[in-house]
Amino acid sequence: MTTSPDRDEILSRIVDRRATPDDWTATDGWEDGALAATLLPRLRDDAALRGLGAELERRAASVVLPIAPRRRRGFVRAAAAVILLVAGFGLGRLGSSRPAPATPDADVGPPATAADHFARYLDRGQSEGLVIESLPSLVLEARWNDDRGRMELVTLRQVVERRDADGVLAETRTEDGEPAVRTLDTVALRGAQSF
Amino acid sequence: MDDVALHLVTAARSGDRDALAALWTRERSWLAAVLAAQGAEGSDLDDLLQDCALHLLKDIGKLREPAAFRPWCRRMALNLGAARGRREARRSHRSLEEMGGLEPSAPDRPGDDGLVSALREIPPAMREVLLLRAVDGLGDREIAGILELTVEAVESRLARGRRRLREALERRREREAARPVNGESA
Repeated sequence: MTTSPDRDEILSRIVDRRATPDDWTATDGWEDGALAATLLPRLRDDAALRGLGAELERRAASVVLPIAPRRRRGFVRAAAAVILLVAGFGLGRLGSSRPAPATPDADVGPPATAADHFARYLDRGQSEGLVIESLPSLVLEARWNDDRGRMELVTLRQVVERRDADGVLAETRTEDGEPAVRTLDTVALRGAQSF
Repeated sequence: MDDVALHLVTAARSGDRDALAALWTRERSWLAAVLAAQGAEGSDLDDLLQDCALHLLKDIGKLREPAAFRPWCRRMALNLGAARGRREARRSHRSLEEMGGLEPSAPDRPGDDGLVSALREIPPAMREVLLLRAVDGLGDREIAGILELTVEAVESRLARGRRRLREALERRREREAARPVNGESA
């Protein structure tokens, strides 16, 4: 393929949808069919590159900054794993999806802040086997706050917990693609390591 | 870099780890593109990105000028990639380019339609611009900031890179067409 640099730059601008009127005028002088013959493959290449870019973004999204909010033990790569199972019936004292506040220990005194309460929940949860890991928070939004004169971050805490359950519900979809919930046969799952 | 990114860099340099986490979330995709342009892929790419995160955490305080954050990060990623390549080469007596079948005639990976293989046939500088454009919707000005080039130079590399990629894909298609099918002799 022989193409002049000018032609490459015009094609590149067309692919990026920022071709100028002069660019389009220049294509009038190209031989019959040249525009379509050269432009279509490059549009297809661009779509393929964007697909590759999306794959790179997905890979990058799984790499989080290893900042420990509190007593993080090792870095767990499973942070991005989607948890499909939801706690169902018969969960007993762990049935609530909201982390239970820790009971203040008599010899330590009442915690002063929400952060202290949360740290206590992690400590107590780890000692009781409820909390497996506390992962770095995900930043959902970052914005400048003029009133406070500093950045304001909206974050999502991630705590990996282990719970006992007599029965579990799984999110699924109907044949029509509608979201639905079904009860899993836990007896049949007895031999499975995990699912 | 926009104002939010500059504020995040400034806060991160002064030790604000939440700001640093936010910064990483914003910047990690284009760093993946830089590393991929050097030939990193799969678990190697994941490991190098993780190394970048660790070094960012460790060294952000050494950054002198917040506005230079992106070129600084890119150099860090390139250095980490090069160091890893040297370690692998010493271990296996092979170069990074030889690892993982990076030679131009390597068979295509399933599902990539020869794109990744064709990208390996074009100069790294053009490959990097193409991949930076492909992730995160980076514009010419942002790419120029990362690569410390003029916008005109980015546009030129992009245009020439697109042509070289098309030519590489056509060469691969011709090679595939000339390749004997099972049971036939060449």
